Amino acid sequence: MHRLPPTGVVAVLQIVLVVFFLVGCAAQSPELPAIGTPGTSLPGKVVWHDLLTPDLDKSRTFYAELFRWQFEEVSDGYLLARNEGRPVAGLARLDAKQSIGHWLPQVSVVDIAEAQNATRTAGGEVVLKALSLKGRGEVAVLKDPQGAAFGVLQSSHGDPADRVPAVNAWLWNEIWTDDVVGAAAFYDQLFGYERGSARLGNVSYDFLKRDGRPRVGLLAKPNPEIPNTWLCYLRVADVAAVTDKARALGGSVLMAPNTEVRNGSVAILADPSGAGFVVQELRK
Amino acid sequence: MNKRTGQTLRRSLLAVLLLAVLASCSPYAGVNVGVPFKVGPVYVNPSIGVGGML
Repeated sequence: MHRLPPTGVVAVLQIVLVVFFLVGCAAQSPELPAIGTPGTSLPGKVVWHDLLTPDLDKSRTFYAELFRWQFEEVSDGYLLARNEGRPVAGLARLDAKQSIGHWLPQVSVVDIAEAQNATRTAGGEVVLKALSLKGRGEVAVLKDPQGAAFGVLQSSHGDPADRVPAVNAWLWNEIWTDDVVGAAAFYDQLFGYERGSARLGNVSYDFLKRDGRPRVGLLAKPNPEIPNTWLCYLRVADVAAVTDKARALGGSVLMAPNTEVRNGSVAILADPSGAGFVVQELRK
Repeated sequence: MNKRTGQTLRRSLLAVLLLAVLASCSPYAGVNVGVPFKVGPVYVNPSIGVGGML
């Protein structure tokens, strides 16, 4: 008959196991590929997008099928997505307490500590204090005074240069808010934006720009039931086909393509975790 | 506290620690940003999609 090991030995083994997992997790903490060019700094630009999701596998399947993104595991809870070989997004697992996904844009900043202080001073919230991601830089998650969440990134390897977005890559970002004036003041102060406006037909469109480049749109939200939020746009080749496919993959259609909005070239979708995003065709 | 209770407590603690460690492998594991989007509300606005064309 086998003798059980003494209690002390079991306790030591258990501690060793915990340390093993801690070290293992630290060792596999995200080593991310660079997304920019060293020396390029474009503060105020949205330079990255992470999906926070309660179901990593389901989200991976959805986006792999919908946009043909390719995935690689960076750590146990974080996947890197590539679009035609180029890093396009991250998928990060939420803990078991949360059941709804959310796309989180990350805006380039020069000094992340200053961004956190400025957010607090202006009545916003630091949701996640700055943390370092290997290969990427320092990331924090903030909320504006109206409650819209977004990320900031102080890149350690430079920001991506401006270029025409590829199909199935990010096209644009918007803030939907019930306080356009208050949100504009907050983001102007935080990112050094100036305000701009454009007119398309009979529609006037306000946006925030930096160094002459439009960086983010600013809209009065179309429905008071919707909480204040950032909204991220992806360029697609065929918005109707993508909408149908998203529905077939378990997503939801929040606004179907219709003639009232950009002549049917845009739709608002939600993935199976509830994370919303816009898809848009660029028509000539 | 008897020996069995002690072992049960230790095992529970170990399980909680392992779960916490695994969850922390995601940089945003505990981030709560609310529920911005849901099926039902009207999202139509004539400004949607203008920014993508700037």
